[in-house]
Order: sequence, then C-alpha cells, then structure tokens
Amino acid sequence: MADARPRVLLIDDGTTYAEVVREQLQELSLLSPRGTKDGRFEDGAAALRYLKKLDAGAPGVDLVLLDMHFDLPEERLLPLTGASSLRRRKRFQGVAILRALRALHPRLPVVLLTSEQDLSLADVDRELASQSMTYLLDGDDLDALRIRIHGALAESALGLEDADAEVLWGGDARVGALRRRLAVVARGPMPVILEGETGTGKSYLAERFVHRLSGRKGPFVAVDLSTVPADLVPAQLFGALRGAYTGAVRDQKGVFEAADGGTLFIDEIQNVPAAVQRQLLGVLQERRVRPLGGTREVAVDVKVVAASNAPLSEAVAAGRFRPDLYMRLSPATRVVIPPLRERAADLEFFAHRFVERAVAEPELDALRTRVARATGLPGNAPLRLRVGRAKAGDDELALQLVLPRPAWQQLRGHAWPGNLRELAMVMHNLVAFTLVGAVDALSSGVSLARPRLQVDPGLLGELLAGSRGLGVGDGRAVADSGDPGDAMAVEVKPDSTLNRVAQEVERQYMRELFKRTGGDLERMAELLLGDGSRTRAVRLRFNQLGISVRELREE
Amino acid sequence: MADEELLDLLLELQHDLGKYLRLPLTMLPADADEALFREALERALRQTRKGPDGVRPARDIWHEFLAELGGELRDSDALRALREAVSRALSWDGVLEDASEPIDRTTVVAELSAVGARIGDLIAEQRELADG
Repeated sequence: MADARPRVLLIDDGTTYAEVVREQLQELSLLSPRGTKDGRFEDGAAALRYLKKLDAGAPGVDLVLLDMHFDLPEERLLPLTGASSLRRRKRFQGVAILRALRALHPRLPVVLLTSEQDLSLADVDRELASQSMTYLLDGDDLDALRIRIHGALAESALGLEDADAEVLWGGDARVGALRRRLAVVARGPMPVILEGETGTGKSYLAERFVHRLSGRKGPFVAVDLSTVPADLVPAQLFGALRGAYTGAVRDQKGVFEAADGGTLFIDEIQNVPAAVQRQLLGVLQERRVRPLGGTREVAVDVKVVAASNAPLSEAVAAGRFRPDLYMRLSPATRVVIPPLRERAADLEFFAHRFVERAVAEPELDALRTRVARATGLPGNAPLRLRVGRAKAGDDELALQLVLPRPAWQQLRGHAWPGNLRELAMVMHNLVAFTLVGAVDALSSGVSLARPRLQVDPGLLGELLAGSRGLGVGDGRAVADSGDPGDAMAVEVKPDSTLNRVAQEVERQYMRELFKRTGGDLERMAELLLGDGSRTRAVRLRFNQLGISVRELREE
Repeated sequence: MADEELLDLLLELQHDLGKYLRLPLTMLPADADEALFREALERALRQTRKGPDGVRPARDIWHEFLAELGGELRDSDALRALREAVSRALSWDGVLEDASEPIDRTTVVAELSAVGARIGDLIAEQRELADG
C-alpha cells in the first residue's frame, strides 16, 4: 500500500533532527533518496541537485526541513552574499540554501530548524519574514516543531486560499500576522487561545478557519459559557448521567464528547467556575472525560479553541483563572484579534462586504430585484455601496446604495463596541430599510428615475444610537411573563459578558411580547415606546436582535 | 581577539553547545519513559554534535571553546556564570554510569537548558560592550 504520509526532505549537517523525525514524528515520511545519509542531505549542493529533478519525475516533496548552521568544510558550503567570514557563512548557510531553493520552488513549504533565540538572525530576519511558505520555529520543543510542520503542511496542502475565501480579513498588518499564525496553530492537537472583544469574529474564525484548516473530520461544536448557569457548566462540558443532579432526567452528552474527532470552541472561557477549571485541566491533559455521576471515563480527541473577550493573563493575575490551565492552553501561540476601532483603514472594506452579504439574503435579494427592474436595470444588477457622490466611471449597471460623506464620517467616528458584528448589523439594516423604503415608494406610485438609493442620515443615526444603547446591567436579570412556565432568568456573574446577557433577555422579551400582542407592532410600539406610530423602531430592534418578524408570524 | 571575532565564537558555541545540549531532551514527548530519557541525556552529553566530522561530546565542545577563547573575558561575570552552568550540566554524565541512580528530570532539563541561557547572557554582555 502506498505511503500516504507527508513526504519530508531534511537538509542538516547533524543527525539530531533526523532522529527526532524518525522517532517522534512518525506521521511523517522522511525521504532518503540517493545522496542522503541517515535520512538527510548533509549539504545544500546535494539537496539542490535532488530538488532540481523534482519536476522531472523524482518522487515529490511536501515539505523541507532546513537547518541554519552548517559546520562543514568551506568547499561544501554554498556562497553567501554579505557573509564576511567563514564562520558567518557557516552560521547562515541555511539562508544560502533557501535562496537557491526558492529559485526552484517558490511555494514549497520550508521550516527552518532554528528560532530567533538560537541565532542572531538580525541580518536576515527581514528576508525570511517576507517569504511566503517559510517558517521559523517558535521554540525548540517537540510541540513547537510539530505545530510548525503541520501548520506549514496545512497551508500548502489544504490550500490556505480556500479557507481564506471563507473569511474577510481586511488589510490590517496585525490581522495579516494573526492569519498566518492561525494557519499554523490550526494544525495539530494543541489548543488555541483566541482573544478579542465581543463581535471581533472569534467564533467565526474558529469555525471557518481553524476548524477547516485543522483537517479534522469530526464536528465543530461551540459552547458559550457566559450563557450557562455556573452549576450546570460541568454537565455542559463533560456530560451527565441521569439523576446526577436535580433535573438530570436523562443521560446527557457533554460538548467534549459531542466534538470528538473535531473542534470544540469554548467561548468566554474565563467564566469557567474555579471548581471546574481543575476538571478541565485534567481533561486537556488526559484527553478523557468522566460525565457527572459516572464512574467510567470516555476518551476524547478534541482540538480546543478557547476564546476570551479580555486577556486571559489578566484573569490569571487576578487569581480568577488557574495558571496551570492557562499554560495548558498554549498561551505562547495565542492569537489576539484587534477591535474594529483600531482598524479604521479596514472600515470601508468591511462596509462594502457586509452590504454584499446582506443583499445575498433571499428576502433582500427579492427587494433588490424589484427595485433594480423599476429603475430600468436588469433584475440581476448588483447592489453596491457608494460612499460620497456618484462619479463618472461608477458601475452604471449596478444599483447604488449611496452613503453621503457626513454619514460616512458618522460611521468612522463611531466606537463600534460590538465590533464587526455590530457593523454587519448596521449595514444589514441600512440595506433592508433603504430597500423597503424604495419598494414602499414604488408601491405608492413614485417612480425611481435613477438607480441610486440614498441612505437616510436619520436612519443611520438611529441605527448607531440603537447599538450604543444595548442594555447592560448587573445582578439578576428577570423578565416574567406572568406565566410560571415562561419566566426568563439569566444569572449574571461579575465577569460575565453583560451585553450578551442583556441581549438574550431582550430577545426573549421581544418574542414574548410579539406573541402576547398577536404580532401587533403598533401595540408593541405603544407598550415599549409610548408611541404606537413608531413601528419602524420596533422592527429595527427586531432586526438588531437578529429576529425575523416574518418567521415570528409563521411561528 | 576582535569584537566581531569573539561574538562569532560565542554564537557558534550557542549553536553547538547551547542548542544541542538541550535539544535531545526538549524534543522528547511528554510521556517519555525513564529509558528514553536516559538515552536522550546520553545523546545530549556524549553525542552532542554528530556530523561529517564525527561525534563531539559536550565536554570536548566546551574545552575547544575555552582553548580558542584563550585569556579573553577573564573578568567577565557572565563567563563565570557560564562555567558554573556547564559544570553542573556536565556533572549529569555521572548518572549515566549507574542506571539505578534516580534522575530528577525537571532539574536535568533546567540545568542543561541553563547553559544556552548563560551563553545568551554572555553574548548580550559582549554586544553591549561592542556597542559601547
């Protein structure tokens, strides 16, 4: 049977790494073609001779492991521009080999068997950092090597471009760096810490990028611990047998078991109660869970992505999070997503993309088609965001959503506490309300002469004010419908995400009110705002909460 | 010895001794048994560099370095600390002779890794002096 393992070519004058790969990384196939000794090419010239033949039918190479320092006689070293002594030529021989290799294979992944701590790479840092598919080690332990190798293979073999298509990255340099890091840590079993404010896209990145690049065949499972009452967290994580606690009327699988073979995204991990943190540490170490009330442990193979809306190290420093659990989550490779307010240059990019996404939804797409036809455009004419006045050269076959400059400044000046999620919501609402307004106008006999839909500045102000006014409270939030079965209660702990809790309560309350008023929006407006004519504000709030009025009516 | 030459010598030591003294141990899986650990310790101390020129144990690499260094850095506190670190690391060779002698793995890894850290201190000291 053919060997399906990734094929690795090692270029190293010493034997240590060959031994490590052979003994500890048996998931890799170390190539030993003619010219190699103990599974490695000892010098650059021999390796390059082999690599030159790759396109001419020699067995393929999936990845190259390349040492940096070659202690070889001068005649066996490749020349290196800028090296002033033989010692330096030896010390940076890996760079000379890499330059020659890149001329042959620009996209072949190369892991350099050195880290910045081992050698002074100041002279060549910039060159190495700017190369795509070239990686330095983060440390010199087995995990660091394994993560690097599998990350590089994942980028190459699974096609980073495919995963990229799922995610909107923008052009921010810090985000570019985190994308590269995520592509590496996605591979392999090590946990990943994602830190970022609410709405920065942690869950989205975990599912669409990390899980996808991980190559894991099992499911992606997400759990948000800020919405789980503290005493139910163990059952939620590890499962529970019937009768394990009051209310456990049947056996319940925990999220670790549910995610077996796949990825488990634990949101707001800083909210794990202290007593559960020790259990969680045990599960991460032993890769086994014991459901509450059970005596048998179940083996689980899960890649954990732990998210936090504040630096986990602060929770550790404050004594709220166990340091050993923190260390187990691999903090050295944590990924920090910057808030939207620090990515001003990306705002326009995201605004455009979110308009495209909004209009791709069937309901809004139907409205777009109707408006496009009414303005003389083909039914499939796209809707494009236009910031400022129309200019010559604008796409005349597109319907334009025109955002006047002052409105754009308003967007730029907003603090975006809800980050990308909030911007997506605002752009969605801008599209929805503007299209509905246009359709209403058409229905009342107004004709649209030009394919330009001006955004109502008042609407934008209302949308931004709405997102600013997301409820934030503390203590215990309770909404009681009067029916004991419908009581809503969310336990809010001191370090919970209050926005999330407040939104959840409001979502439940709005649904309940809709039900009790029989879907009468005027009545709802009267009850909520003291003005029955403000039905648009009620609709807007439903939209902001992600509730479809149409679906509510169907329910 | 010129500053640049001295720095090159130290960087070479960092690679040959600092890195390869700890690498066989740090590259072990977390659940490596005692026999595997002893084998790795032996590689670290006695087969520190294995290449085209044959096998060079850590002790030889260190003595070759001292010989090349000559009388340089006599007054360096960092070199004194490095000497002590190397001496502690090399002393673990004794446990390899007697399989019954217990090995405190954490201490071994820490003491072998300390050599690279002390070489790093020495490099930093020399860079500082060279930068004036």
